[in-house]
Amino acid sequence: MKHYLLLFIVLFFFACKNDAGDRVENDKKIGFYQNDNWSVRIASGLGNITYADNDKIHIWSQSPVLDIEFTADSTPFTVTFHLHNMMSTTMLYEDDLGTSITKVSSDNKTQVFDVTLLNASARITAASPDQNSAGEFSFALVSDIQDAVYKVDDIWDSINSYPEISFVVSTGDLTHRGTTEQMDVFFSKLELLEKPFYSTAGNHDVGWDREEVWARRFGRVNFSFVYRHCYFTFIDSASAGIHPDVYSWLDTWLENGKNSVHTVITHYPPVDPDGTRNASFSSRMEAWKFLKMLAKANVDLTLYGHIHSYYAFQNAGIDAYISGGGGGIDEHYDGMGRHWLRITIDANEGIKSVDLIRVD
Amino acid sequence: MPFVFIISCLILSQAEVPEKPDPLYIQPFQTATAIFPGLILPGSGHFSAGYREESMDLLVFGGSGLGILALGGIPAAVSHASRRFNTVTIPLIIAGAGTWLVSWYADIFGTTAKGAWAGTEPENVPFQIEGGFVYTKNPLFEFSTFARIAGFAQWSVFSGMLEMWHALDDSNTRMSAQGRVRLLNRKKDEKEFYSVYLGGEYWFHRFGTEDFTNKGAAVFLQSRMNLGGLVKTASGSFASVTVGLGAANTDYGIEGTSSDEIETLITSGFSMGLYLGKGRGEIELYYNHRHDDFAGGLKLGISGDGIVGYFGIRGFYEVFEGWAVKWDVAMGSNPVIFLGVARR
Repeated sequence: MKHYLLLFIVLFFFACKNDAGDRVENDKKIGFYQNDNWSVRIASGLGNITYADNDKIHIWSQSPVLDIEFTADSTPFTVTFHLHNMMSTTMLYEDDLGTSITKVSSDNKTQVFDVTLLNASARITAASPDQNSAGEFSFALVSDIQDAVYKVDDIWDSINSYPEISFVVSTGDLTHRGTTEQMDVFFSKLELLEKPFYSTAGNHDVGWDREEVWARRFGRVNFSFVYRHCYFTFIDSASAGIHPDVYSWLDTWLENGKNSVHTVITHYPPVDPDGTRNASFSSRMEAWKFLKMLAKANVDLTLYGHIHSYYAFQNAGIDAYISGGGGGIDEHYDGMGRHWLRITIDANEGIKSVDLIRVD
Repeated sequence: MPFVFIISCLILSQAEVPEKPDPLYIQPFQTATAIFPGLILPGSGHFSAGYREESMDLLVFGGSGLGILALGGIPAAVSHASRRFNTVTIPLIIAGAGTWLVSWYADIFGTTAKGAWAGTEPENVPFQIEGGFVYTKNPLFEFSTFARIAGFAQWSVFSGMLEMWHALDDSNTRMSAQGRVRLLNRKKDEKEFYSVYLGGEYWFHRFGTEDFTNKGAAVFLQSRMNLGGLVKTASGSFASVTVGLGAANTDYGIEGTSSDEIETLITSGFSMGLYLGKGRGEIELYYNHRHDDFAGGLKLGISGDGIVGYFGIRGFYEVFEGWAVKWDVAMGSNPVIFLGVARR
C-alpha cells in the first residue's frame, strides 16, 4: 500500500511537471530541417517547421520576418514553402541571385511560394514590404483565454475590425491545459483571426507537462524579432521565473534593442502590483534582477498576463500593463471582463497609446 | 459517508489511556490515525488513543483554524483573488492553515509522545549574540557564501534584534532591525502557555554587483504557544503563527526610475517544533510566506507556481553552558543553509 501511495505521489508530480529547462532545450531545436537532398535553417528559430518532405515545407512563423538559409545537394532544386501565420502582404526576397521565387497563393495568413535553388545554397527573407518602413503602427495584446477558447471568436472579430493592427501578441494561457485536443480547438479558432499571432507560453499551456505540444505547434517560447525598427522580445516565465539559460539570450536581445523602441512580453508579471497576492515570480530577487536588466536596456514597454484583469502601472520606471482578459475566470469586483489592448507605437516617437478594448 | 466510516473506525479502535506513558512505546496505529484521518479531522489520533477530552480540545483548536481558513479562503476563491480583499484574505488563509496544521502536529506529537517528551522550554535570555555562515545556491547571482551576525536583546515585555548578512564572494549586504512588544502572556498550571506579540521590522538590502537596493518595513502580530498547555500529551512541543504585512521600494539606480513604486508583501507564516533536552534547545519546522528573502518562494514545478513561500527547519542547541549551535535550512526557489554559534 505504501508503495502504491509513493508511486501515486511520484506520478502526480510528473504529470504536473512544469520544467522551463525542457522548454529551453526545445527552443534550441526549433527552425532546422534536413533530409538526404536539402536542408533549411531559420535564423533565431523564429519559424517552426511543422511538416516537410521531399518537395514541400510548412513553417509556422513566430515573427513578421523570417531569414531562411536554404541548401540543396544538386541544383536546380525546387521546394514549395508554405509560410503560415504571416502577414497577407508577405513576400519572399532573395539575398543574392541564387534562387527563382514564384508566389503560388495567398490565403489569409498562409503564403505559398515555389522556391527554386539555382546554386548550392541561398538566403531568402520572408517579410512584408513595410517591414523596414518608418511611422506608427498598432498591435494587439490578448492573453489568458483558457476555458473561453470556444468563444474567442468575438475577440478576433473585434481585433479584425481595426485594420491598422499589424499583428497580435500574447503572453500565453491560450488553453486551459495545453492538450493536443485543446490546441486543435485553439488553432481552428485562430483561422478566424486575420492577423498573425505571436505568443510565448503561459503556465496553463505548458504547466502540465505539455511543452512538447507547444513546441510542435508554435515553436519557441523565448524569441525576439524586429518589425519596423521596433523590437519585440518574448520571454518564457511560465514557471514563475525565467530559466537561468534564457538570461544569456535576453542579454543579447536587450543589447540589440537598446537604442530602439523595445517591448518585452512575458506571462508572469515579475512583481504583482498587488504584492500580497504574489501572482508573480516566485522570487522577488529574481524579479528585481530581471527588471534592472530591462531598465538598463531602456526597454519602453512591458506586457504581462496571468492575472485575469487589467492593470496599468510602472515597474523599474518602465510602463507596464497586465491584460489577462482573454476569458479565463476573471478577477471579480474590478469592473473588467473580457478585453484586449490596442497598442500604437512609432520607432521614432516610442509608445504612443495603449487602449483598452472591451469585448463583453 | 466517509466521515461516518472514519468515526466508526476511530470508536472501534479506541485504546486504553496508559497510566504511566512510556515515550519509547509508540502505538503505530494511533499515530497513523493522527496522521490520517487526523489531517481532516483534528484530534483523531488522541481519540483513537483514548484521550477523549484532549481530542475534543484539538478538534476545537483545529476547527478554529479551519474557520479562519474559510474566512479568508472563501472570499478569495469567490472573488478570484480580488485586489480589494487580498490584504485581509491571504493573511487569514495562512493563519488559518497554520492553526489547522498546528492542531494536526499536536495530535501526531501528543499521540506519539503521550506527554512523556522530556524536552523543556529554554529560559529566555536578556541578551544574545550569534554569528555564522550561510551557503546558498542561486544561479542568477554571483554570491554563494555569507557571513551572518545578529544580536538579540530583551527587557521586560520589549525585545529587539539586529541582523546582517554580508556576502563573502560578492557585493551583497542585507541588514534588518526588528522590535516587538509582548501584548499578552498566559500561563497554565504555572507554565508558559501562550504569548502574543506586536512587532515591526525594517530592512535594507543592497545588491552591489547588480546595482540596486531594496528597502522596506513590515508590521506583524505573532503568537507562540506551548502545545502542552493545549493538550498535556503534547508537552515539550510548541508552535507559532505570524500575520504580517509589509511594503518595500526598490531603487534600480537609474535616474527617473522606481522612486515611488511600492511593492507590498505578506510576512506571515507558521512553525511547529519541539524542545530539546532540559531547556537546552529547540527545533522547528516553519513556513514563511515571504518571497523577498534569499530563499524566495518555493517552485513546485507545477502550473500555478509563484504563490507559495518557503519552508525550513531551524533551531539551536546549547552544547556548553551559555554556548549554542544554531542552524537554519530553508528551501524556496533556492536552498539557504545557515550554521552558526550563539552566545546566550
